[in-house]
Amino acid sequence: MTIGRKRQLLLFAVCLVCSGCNHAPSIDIIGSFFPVWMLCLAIAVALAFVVRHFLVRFNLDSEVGPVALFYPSVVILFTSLLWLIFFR
Amino acid sequence: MEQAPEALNRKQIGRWIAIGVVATAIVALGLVIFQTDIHPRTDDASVRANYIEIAPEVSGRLVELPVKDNAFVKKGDLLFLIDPRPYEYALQQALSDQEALEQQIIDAKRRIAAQNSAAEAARAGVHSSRTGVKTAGSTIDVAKATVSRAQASLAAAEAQLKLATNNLHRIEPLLQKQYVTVEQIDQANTAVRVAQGNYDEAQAALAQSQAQLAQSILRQQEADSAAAESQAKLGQAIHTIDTVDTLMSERPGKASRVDSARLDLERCRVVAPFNAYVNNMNISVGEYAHPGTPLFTLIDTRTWWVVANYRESKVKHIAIGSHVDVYLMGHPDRRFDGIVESIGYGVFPEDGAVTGGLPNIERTLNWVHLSTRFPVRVRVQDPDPDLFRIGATALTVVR
Repeated sequence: MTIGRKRQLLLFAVCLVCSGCNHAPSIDIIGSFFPVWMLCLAIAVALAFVVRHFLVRFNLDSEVGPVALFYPSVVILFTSLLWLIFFR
Repeated sequence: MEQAPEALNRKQIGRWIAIGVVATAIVALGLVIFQTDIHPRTDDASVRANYIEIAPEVSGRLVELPVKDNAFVKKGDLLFLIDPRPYEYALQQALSDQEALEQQIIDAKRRIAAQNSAAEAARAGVHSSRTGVKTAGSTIDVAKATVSRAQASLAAAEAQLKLATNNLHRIEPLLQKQYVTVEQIDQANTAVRVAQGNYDEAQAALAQSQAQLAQSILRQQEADSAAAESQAKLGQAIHTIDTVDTLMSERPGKASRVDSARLDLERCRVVAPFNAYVNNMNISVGEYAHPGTPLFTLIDTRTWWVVANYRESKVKHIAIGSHVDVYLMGHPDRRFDGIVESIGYGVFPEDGAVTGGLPNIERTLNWVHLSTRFPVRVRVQDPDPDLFRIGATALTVVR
């Protein structure tokens, strides 16, 4: 299930990369320019909560090894993917 | 017993998920690092353009100022006009000076022609005085011949007188013996007297001719000195001929003064040297313009640059001529194409201070050093002049 979603996400990413994303690698928040990786990180943290929600639902929460390694990895993975897809 | 395989299965799935997530995260992170390495990016960049401060070259009051602050001006558009009247008058003055010099030259040429004629006349005078000398010489010769003739006449008269006297002395004693008559004596006496008269006359003629000779000699001397005088006059006439050289040498000076006045007049009208934006303009008509004092600034809109400061470790991935994606933070959704034009070769070193003639080195135990940033000059290929402003924040990604 997760792998399928990832494939879909990757396909979507490829489409996005091909169509091209012309946004600057910084975002303007009330006159201050933040690097986009911060935005990616924030979204990735939110997505990590979603991932945890699904893991708890399928009773896999306790089976993914040390949580201190798993969730940071999830965050890093989503951050990197988002960055690679939208702001490469 | 049913619980155990399901739990085992779940455990396996969980392990695979964990391994997959960690492995993909590492690969994705590696990809990100690789991407940022080969396509260096920075948000420490700003927009630049060349700008000039417009300063007048002549002084005066501004009588026209058609431009406004922040206005766009095309190349050749009038920026401001300085009161041209003083410079028009100066030009007229210079032109009249030039004309006066030309007239002086014409006058001098006329005078020189007159002086040349005078020299010719003096030359003719020299010639005639030389002829006078020659005439005086021939007069002397005539006078000398006259003297010789008079001397000869005198000698003849003397001989005649001697003969007559001797005759008289011979016949006088014969009178007492009556050998001769008184008449004969008288005749002899008369002959002596006539001879004496002839002799005196010849002497007088000789004296006269000698005086004439002396006079002729004096005349010759006079003619000589007259010749010398006319020769000297010729020299004087030749030497006093004016030349127009000094006046001619003033010609380029006058011409350059005219050119300079004309240039000053042209400089009253100041036009835009290129397509530009007017900036920092806080003056109105009537402002007194001083030469060299800027009135406002013109931003050259022909070329826009972005100067991006890259960390020294990234500089090696930036090649001159490579394409750069340029984003302006004022319009983050628009991408501009740029080309790396050059990379700065120097920034101010932080540890270069000298105090009291010796290098001032900080005592430090820094383990982490911040990397220096070098300015990379990126020329924007397709700038939108409405969006680009000097100092605007920009982002660059080298492709």
